[in-house]
Amino acid sequence: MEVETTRQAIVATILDCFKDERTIYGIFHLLKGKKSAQTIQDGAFFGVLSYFGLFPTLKRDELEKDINKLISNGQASLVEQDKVILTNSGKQKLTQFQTKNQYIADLRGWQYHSYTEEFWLRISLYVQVITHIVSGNRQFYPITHQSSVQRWVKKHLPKSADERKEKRNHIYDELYAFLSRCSDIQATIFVQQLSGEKRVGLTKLQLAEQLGMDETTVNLYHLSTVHRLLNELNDRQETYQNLSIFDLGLKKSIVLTESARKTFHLFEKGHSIESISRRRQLKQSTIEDHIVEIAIQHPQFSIRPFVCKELEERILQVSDMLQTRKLRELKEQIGSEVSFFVIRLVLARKKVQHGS
Amino acid sequence: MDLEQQLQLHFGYGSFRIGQKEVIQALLSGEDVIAMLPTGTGKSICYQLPALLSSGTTLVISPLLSLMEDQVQQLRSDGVKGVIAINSFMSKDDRETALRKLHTYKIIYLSPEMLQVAFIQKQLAKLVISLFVVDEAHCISQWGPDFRPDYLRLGQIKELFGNPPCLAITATATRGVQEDIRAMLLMGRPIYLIYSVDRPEISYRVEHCETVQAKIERVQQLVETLNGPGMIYFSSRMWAENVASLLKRKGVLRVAYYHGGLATEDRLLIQQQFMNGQIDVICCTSAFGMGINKKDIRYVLHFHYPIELESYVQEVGRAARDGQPSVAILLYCMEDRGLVNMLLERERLSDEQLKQLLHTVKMFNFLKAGDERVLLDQIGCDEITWRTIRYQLEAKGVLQKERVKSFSVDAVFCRVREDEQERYQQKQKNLELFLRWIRTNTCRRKRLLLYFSEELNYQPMDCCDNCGATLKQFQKTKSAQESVSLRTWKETLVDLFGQSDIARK
Repeated sequence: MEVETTRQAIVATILDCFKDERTIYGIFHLLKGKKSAQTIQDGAFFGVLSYFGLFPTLKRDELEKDINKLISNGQASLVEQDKVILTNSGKQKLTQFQTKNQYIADLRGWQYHSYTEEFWLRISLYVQVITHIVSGNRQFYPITHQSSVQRWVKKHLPKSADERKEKRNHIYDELYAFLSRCSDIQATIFVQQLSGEKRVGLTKLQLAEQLGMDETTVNLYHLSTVHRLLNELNDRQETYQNLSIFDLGLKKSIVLTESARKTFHLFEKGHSIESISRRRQLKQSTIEDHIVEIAIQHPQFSIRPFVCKELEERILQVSDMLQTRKLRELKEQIGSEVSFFVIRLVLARKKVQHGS
Repeated sequence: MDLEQQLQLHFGYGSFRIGQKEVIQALLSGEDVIAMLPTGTGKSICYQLPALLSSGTTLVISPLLSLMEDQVQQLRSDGVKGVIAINSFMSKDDRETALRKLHTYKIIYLSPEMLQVAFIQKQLAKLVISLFVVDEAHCISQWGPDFRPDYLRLGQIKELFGNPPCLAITATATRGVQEDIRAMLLMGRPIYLIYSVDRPEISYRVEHCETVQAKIERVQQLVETLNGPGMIYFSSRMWAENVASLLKRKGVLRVAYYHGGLATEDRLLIQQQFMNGQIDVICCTSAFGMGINKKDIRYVLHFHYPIELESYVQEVGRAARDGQPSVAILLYCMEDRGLVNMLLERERLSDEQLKQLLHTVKMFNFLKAGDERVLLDQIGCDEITWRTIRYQLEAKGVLQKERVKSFSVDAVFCRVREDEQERYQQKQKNLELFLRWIRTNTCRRKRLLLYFSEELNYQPMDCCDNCGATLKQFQKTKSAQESVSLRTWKETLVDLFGQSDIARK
């Protein structure tokens, strides 16, 4: 049997969560990081937002190829047009993969995809700059041309030689501490990409060749490490007093699609869904989509105006009991007076709070 | 003013290289200059130093985007402040910020396209421009391979800025091209500072291979036996990648490929690894190395040859910047002809495409920048081809700024085709001349100089294959295969952060 790629395994992971409730193109949009209400809601419902935007350059036919491969390997089967589920052997295979590749659990695509790269460039450039100037070498060629990154690094360099040296040592200590908590391979891929005074970092392709992996896998390892670092900076700021400045200003409080933002704006001004729909000349269902999107994005956003506590609990209970996210089945059970919108809203909120 | 002292102060060099001082002096005394300095001479110093010594702003028009960015970064890391490159790569925010504080810059690099933007012209016209520089000036010749119609307007634009002293500088311009440059930039009586294109440290060699397969094997052999570091030029990205991975499979480990398709950050890493000696061989397309100045390149191989001698001289000129003997080897094979002809044809639209394009343009009353993009994507026309067509439309008065006047598709169609034909024939002619150089059995150096209307005054040792030079002195003495295996992350991290004073764990 052919070796499967990491991307295939990720696709299988999402298939497993989607069951036959979404088409394979749902996977495509999720991996590509399409910021549409549908994709974001699905991601939240099915608990797969951590894979959001991991493959921004993915092509449709690449995904189709992955799926066909899974089918021809007997790991997945087609249930109907564009809907595919994992077979038992596929599930087994997936469990094996997950046990063997613990780093996957470090991925936080949705939370960090929009600034992973910039954060990483800040670290790489900072390391390059501080190691150079501390050893008295002020002439070097920056590893990135991005002016926002260059400006940031410049702004955050200590002024005196002593402080710089101290800073360098602290950063070394913190990186060392962090990387010791990662897997060896995560640490290797992280460190080998960095450039310093004596050596220039490797590209992901070069690392892939050296480690006998494909470039996608190296990139996933890389993302997992960076996401993990971002996560730790959040959770244990006191351990990372020096590194924790690196993600400042990158965190966007909430990422919304342009249209949802407008809806949010009107909603905050006190307009109802109906009123927003009229003002914006959009269908009510579109506005409801926006509200669900906002509920996913914005942890402080209260869903109370749309659903009372009792109903929320009942919906969650039924969803738990039936083990499905098929809205129709849920609605039948809960009662036809409850709208799809309310069910979606509750499920969206639940998923987000359970940290996907 | 003691120019040597200024040179030391700003750039840390003790003395000028050939021609530099003459160019600088002429510019500082207010003359227009057409300068040709051999590859590897450090042409940028010729305008960077006077820029720093003048009171106003220096504009540098450079056709190559990546070159521009590289130079800016290099200047900044040399400690020169107030330099900026304004080009289409810039984010909108960055560009707006830059345009708002234009007056704070000493040197502004611009692409010719950016210089056509009316708003930018207006902003620039408010400044005191003390120097107007056209780098890689051979590009502005109508007959050069890199010609773009935007260059035709550089002369007028220069007048807009009050006709400051103008420098056109290049490493490769035949007499005809020099004249073209003068006319195009509306220079009255420029001072010509023309130095020999000859690079006596470089030995020329052409090898004939029967088949492409034989050529691949020969490349492998050369890479294994020649003393590096070296470069191998290809005409396509795919070839560069394939040969790099083939070499790797054959045990040449410190090799990498480089082309315009790489992400910027990867591009920078590969360049710097090469500079830093972590890579010995680069498989690249012509996109490589404009900006980097690696001194010790020992050989330049051409797996595919370019379409004319000027480009060849530019590319082999990357070798021997430290003045040590180096070799340029062109591998020639009959099968290459087809590929080269394809390169010549590349920029041509089919009759159908061209007609469709013109018909679509005709439907617009106003053609905005956004419309252009959509239009080009629809028809599958690249930017450069479009600029040529656009120029024709403007020349005919059909396009005035964004306004589209009614026109006859057939008439414009014929004009564009005629123009292309003319250009195509010129390219054919250049290619023919280059092929003659490739096939010659007389001294290659002499023939090369002749192409630039020069005579050979001095024949170095190991001149060329036709003069009896061999590869002997360029061969590796020791066959040290350097290991490339990864060290542990802990060791690497300690190394990265330098010294043992922090290796306390």
